[in-house]
Amino acid sequence: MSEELATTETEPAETDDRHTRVEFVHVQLGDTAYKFELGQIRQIVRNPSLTPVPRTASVIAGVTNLGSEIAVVIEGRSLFDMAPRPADQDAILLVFDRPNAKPTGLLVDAVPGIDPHHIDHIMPPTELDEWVPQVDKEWFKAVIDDSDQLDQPIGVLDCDSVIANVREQVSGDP
Amino acid sequence: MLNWSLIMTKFPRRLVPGIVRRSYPLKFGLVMVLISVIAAGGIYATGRFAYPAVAATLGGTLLTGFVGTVLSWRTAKAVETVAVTPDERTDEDTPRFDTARIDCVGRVASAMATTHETLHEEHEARLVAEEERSTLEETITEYQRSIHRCANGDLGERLEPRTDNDVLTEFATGCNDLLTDVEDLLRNVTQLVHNVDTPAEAEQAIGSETADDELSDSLRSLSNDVDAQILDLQTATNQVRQLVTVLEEVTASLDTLEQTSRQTVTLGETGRDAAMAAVDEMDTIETEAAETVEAIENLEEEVQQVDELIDFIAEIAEQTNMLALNAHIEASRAGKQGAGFAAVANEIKELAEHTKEAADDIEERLTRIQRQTDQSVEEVRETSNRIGTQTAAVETATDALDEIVNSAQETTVGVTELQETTQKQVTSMNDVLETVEAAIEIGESITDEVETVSATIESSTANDLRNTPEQFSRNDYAAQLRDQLTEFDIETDSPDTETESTEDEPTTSAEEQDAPTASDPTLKTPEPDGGRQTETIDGYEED
Repeated sequence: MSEELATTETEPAETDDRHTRVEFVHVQLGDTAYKFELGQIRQIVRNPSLTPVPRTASVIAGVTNLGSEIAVVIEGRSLFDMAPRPADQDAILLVFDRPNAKPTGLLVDAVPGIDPHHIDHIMPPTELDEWVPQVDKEWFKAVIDDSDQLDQPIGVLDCDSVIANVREQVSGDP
Repeated sequence: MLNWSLIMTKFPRRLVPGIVRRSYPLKFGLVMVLISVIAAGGIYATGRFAYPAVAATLGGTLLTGFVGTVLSWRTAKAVETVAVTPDERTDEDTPRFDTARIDCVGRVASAMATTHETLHEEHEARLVAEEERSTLEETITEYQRSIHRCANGDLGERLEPRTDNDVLTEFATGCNDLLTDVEDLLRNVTQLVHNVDTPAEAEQAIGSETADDELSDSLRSLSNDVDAQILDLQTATNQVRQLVTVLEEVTASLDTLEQTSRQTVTLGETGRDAAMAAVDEMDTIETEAAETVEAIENLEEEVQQVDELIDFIAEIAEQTNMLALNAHIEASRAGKQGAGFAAVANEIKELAEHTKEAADDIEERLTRIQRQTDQSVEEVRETSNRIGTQTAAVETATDALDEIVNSAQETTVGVTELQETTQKQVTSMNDVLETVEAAIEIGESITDEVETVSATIESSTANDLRNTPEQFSRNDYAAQLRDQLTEFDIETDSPDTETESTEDEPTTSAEEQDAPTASDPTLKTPEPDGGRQTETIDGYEED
């Protein structure tokens, strides 16, 4: 009886929380933090077994077997012009959720967690002038300026923009 | 239990070759190779076999073993250099213990240098003392023979003073003075006996008109001479007594030296026993240290296994974290129905993170334990090496104490022989003293008799005097004295020398100077064939 009461009492708060908060996957590349919208990520794989693909650009780390399908793996450090990852450091693969598209993943250094942020702290990239990312703001879908949880604004990468830039680098790379 | 542990401790030594057991660096290197093989086999046994991991483990352990072997080889080489250095003494080279090291090896080298210097100085001092003792013994033996020859009558014998010893020089000078005095005394007594015992002189004295007066004067002079000789003998007696006193002091010093030598033997034996006990204790401690190192190494292996388990737990926590993230993603894809599942996934993620933090904390603590264990093993091994070095040093000290004990025992024997020799000399000097005292008594008897005869002569005629019993008594005394004097080999000088010797004697009055004395040529000048008087007393016996 008491459990039912508790559920009844907490249910409006949880509903309100779902409507006012958005969850993001927090990733780390070197010293820089990025976020992805949780709905754009389908799977997270730690230290995936990669098969290099000859005659491809350095931004393509290779392909990996996800069980029922083969996914293309993008090296995040190469994409953002960072130094190669040390051999003894773990690599985390984020598999993008892109329906009707070829499975694609991005290699990052770490995934500290999945963080919810209030919608009031989420804004378009162009609205926050003091935020200057390392890459063009077109790569980002939004920016989170949550001083309660973050030391500085963090950009929310758009997986479609990321893949489009990868295609540009692959096509421009001899 | 104890026997089982002893069997387990001793058993591997039977399997290890002697060349490995004698070389600690080789032993260390082989142990590290064995550990690397075991580590590689352990990784293979865990089922997560990977060539890089095995190669890295094997290579790292071999590299560590190589570095440790080189370091232990350098330390062992330095210690062996210090240990071999004392053997250079056998090649009559000066051993050098100086080293540039300032660690325990340098301190051991410094301590051994100090000990060696002390032992070397004691050895040199002992050699000098033995040489002096040998010289002293030879000199005293030579003096003893000379004194025996003097006691047997050869008064021409003299002791040769030794300039390197004040006591012996004083002893030889005193003996020579004494012998000179005794020889002069006996020469004078011989002259007196000859004067009294010559019938021709008596006949000449009796045939003259003033025979009684001259005989009385002659006897008075004889009495004075005998008194003077008694004084000389008493002086000689005092000198002999002083000499005996000196010898008794030497004997007392030798007693003290013998006691000191015996105490040295006792102390040396006590020190040697204590050093041997210390060596036994050090051996026991070294064995216990080896057992401690083995126990700590076993503990280190256990810690290593726990560390591997912690790594495994951390790996599981990381994978759990990934599963929780994926579960959260799947829950979000389920929409409202997956909210509860997302909460559970979050709880699992936090639990995995706590597990990983705990595993990291445990791993850090194990790393500290491993570091402290390695330090403890190193300290115990260093202590064991120090104990081994100190054991060798104490064994060397034990040998040195053994040599000291043997040398002290030889010194004791030498001092005892020297004591016996000195005691014989004291006995000989006492014999000489008794002889001189007997001569003094005889001289006093002669004086009494001469005074009696002189008084009798004054109251009777010369003819009566010649036939009186006193005359026979005087002749008897002279014969007795002459017999005693024949025991001495007195080198009588020429008549001129005798005259000079007699003239040196003090005269008490003008009457005695005018009166015919024992040195008067009319009384003492021998017959034409009396030139033989320059010979020994035996010559008078032949006359």
